[in-house]
Amino acid sequence: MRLRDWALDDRCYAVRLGASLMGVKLPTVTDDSALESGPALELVDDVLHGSLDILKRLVTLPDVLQEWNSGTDAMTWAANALDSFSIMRRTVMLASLPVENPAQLAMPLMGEIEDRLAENRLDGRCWVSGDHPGVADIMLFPVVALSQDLEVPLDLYPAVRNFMRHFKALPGFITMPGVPECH
Amino acid sequence: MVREIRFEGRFDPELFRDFAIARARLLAVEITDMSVSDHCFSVRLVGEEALLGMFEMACLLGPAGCIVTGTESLG
Amino acid sequence: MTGWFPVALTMDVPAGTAAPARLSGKEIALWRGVDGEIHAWEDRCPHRGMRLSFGFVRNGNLACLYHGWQFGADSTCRHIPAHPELRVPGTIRATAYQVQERCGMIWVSLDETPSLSHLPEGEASGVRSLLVQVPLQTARTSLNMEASNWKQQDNCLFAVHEPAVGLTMLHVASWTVAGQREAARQAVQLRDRLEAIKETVLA
Repeated sequence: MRLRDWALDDRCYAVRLGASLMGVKLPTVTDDSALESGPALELVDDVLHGSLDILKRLVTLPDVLQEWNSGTDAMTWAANALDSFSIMRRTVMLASLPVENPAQLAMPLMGEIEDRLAENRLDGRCWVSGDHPGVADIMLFPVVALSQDLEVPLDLYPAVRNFMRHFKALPGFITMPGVPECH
Repeated sequence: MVREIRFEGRFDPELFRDFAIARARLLAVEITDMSVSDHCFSVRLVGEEALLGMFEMACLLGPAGCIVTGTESLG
Repeated sequence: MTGWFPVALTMDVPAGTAAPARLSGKEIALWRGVDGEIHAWEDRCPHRGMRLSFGFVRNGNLACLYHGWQFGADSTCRHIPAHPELRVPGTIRATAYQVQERCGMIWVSLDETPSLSHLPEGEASGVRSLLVQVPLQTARTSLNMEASNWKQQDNCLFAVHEPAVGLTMLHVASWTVAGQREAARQAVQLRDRLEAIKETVLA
């Protein structure tokens, strides 16, 4: 099992992050096709494409806590959020001239995420997946953490900040360039 | 401790002077002598060694629009 | 800009953390020591201007993310990691603003000695702070907040501030646990209504 990976790609980060949180050793190989098409997981007899499908496969591995598999509705929503965000981020970061007011692109999505997280928080939950973080939370984290690349001001999204704080404290949390270490 | 610093470069003298005065105040070092022209900045300071070092670094990076091309630091 | 402004909920700056806030474009770092005391400072490290709100709380101080300069509760610099033996001069300090916590919310004043008489009273808990993408005046009018930036309604407190021109943060607190969901629902409804009106006007 090997991940075709691009270090700076948000979708690839979601997979690397998920593997680390789940305690799965996932060798990676740098492949610039991953920048274009996202991560790909090479298996013995198959290749899986996309963060959602790869993470769903990782959850089935032995020794992975089944709680990571909770919240299947939220998974689809989070996967769409990650895909939309990824397009916006690549547009902004690969543009030959600076994009004016990039935050405007991401704010509708940030508002939607904030609403969901704030709603769950009223029930005493900080995860979109339920009482335990799940695949949906793993896919959501790169979106909110890398929203900084689109200059999204986080003073406007307190539930997002709360989510990030709890997420960064999870055992096995790893960063990527643009996501600071916790202290 | 006393330190003399001399920079060459392209400066806005007024900007650089104001910057140096503000930095010296922040770092609690005393400027005993200073002259700034559009190509030369020189200053004599008294203060704690670490703070003198910080002052020098800050002036090396300097305010926007001032570029240091050569430096000389004496004692 | 005189008086007190609600900038965040108490629950959104837990002990040992820092958070950003803006007041009409002015950037503020909110942070809470492990002793529970809240602070509101200008969001700029005096060293190189890095946002202090990106920093972390260490030894009861707020440490800047950039070079780790640590600032104590009195806003003076206590420790510079690159020069650990240095007794840092008192001139190196963050700029502190007046801050109060009332009714589950954090209130900041840019005045030096603001009067406390215009703050709400009571033991309320924060419910939510949400962004409403309309100018502050629009939100205040809609909430019938003529002369103030807060209003008590039934068992809820609604308070507003302007992080930047054209934006409003609506802060909601409730005196009862039972009232929290309803208060949140009302806030979301108000936001949706005001933003829909704005869309219609622009279209």
